[in-house]
Amino acid sequence: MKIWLLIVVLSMITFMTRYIFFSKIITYRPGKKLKNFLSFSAQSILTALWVPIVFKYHSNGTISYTDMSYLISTIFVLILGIYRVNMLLIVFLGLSLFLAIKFDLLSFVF
Amino acid sequence: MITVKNNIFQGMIDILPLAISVVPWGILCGTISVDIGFNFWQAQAMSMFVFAGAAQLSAMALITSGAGLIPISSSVFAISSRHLLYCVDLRKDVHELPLKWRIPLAFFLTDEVYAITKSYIHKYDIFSPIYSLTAGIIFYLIWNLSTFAGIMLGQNINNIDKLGLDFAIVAVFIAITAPHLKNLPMLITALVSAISAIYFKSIYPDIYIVIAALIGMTAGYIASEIFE
Repeated sequence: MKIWLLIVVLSMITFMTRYIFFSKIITYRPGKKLKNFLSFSAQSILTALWVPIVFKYHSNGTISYTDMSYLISTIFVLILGIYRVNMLLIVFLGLSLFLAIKFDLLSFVF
Repeated sequence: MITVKNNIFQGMIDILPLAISVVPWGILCGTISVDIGFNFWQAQAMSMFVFAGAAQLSAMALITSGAGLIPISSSVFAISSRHLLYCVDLRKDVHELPLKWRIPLAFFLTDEVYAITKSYIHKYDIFSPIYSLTAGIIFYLIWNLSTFAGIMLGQNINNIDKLGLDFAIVAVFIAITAPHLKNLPMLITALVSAISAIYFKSIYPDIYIVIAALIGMTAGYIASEIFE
């Protein structure tokens, strides 16, 4: 794929979503219902992005966990997230746990 | 009276913690783009012009899975559509300003800049273009510097994916979404989106994100109409 073309197209998309209602030409404004609908976009898309990374697909169509390091670290990060731990700390602790399990540093626990 | 100088200074101070917390994310973006075959300028241009963390990361995840221009663009549009809300929300304050102000204010309108702009308006009951613009520029510089660091890292270390960078994406996205799970419509959105994503990935590997996102949003919308 032409990477530069992709970069140009994506740049136009992100700029337009931030600019369009600042424009004097556009008089349309989304109503209450559309705004409510859009307010679920980030939650929905980010979830759709991360969940499939944790699972993998077998050729026979069944789905399983990629490995225990993903599953355990994901549950850990979810708990921290629900308790509103600072994002930087979540990423640091989550990644540390993930790598520790992946490289067998916690083999005495799991 | 709040002076211009004060606004510039305060914009810098207020955005700094938020800008620092996206540094690992910027590094990740830089490193992954090198990992999937972008050259230096392509990797840096993503942060210079697209300038949207979640959109950049998901574009790269989709490139890895072999998706084409249309599926990637539609996913990025769906991810960026939340900015339409910020844009329409600030419209009354911004749309009377001249074009030379509106264009940069729009370009720098990230989640973080929107967040501090809202709390500024809440505090002083007025919108300050210079405050928001300063915050945007600082955020932009830090984002691009961390991307640069990530590119350097990516060019000098082999097999970065083995270092768990894909899990770092998972952690960042969970950190953003998990606090909302206590809200019922948001919880329903996430559950429906998650199940749809797992199901549709095996059927439509190119566009499953957009399909799952729309189904999740619809579920959340319906739930909010019922429960609120």
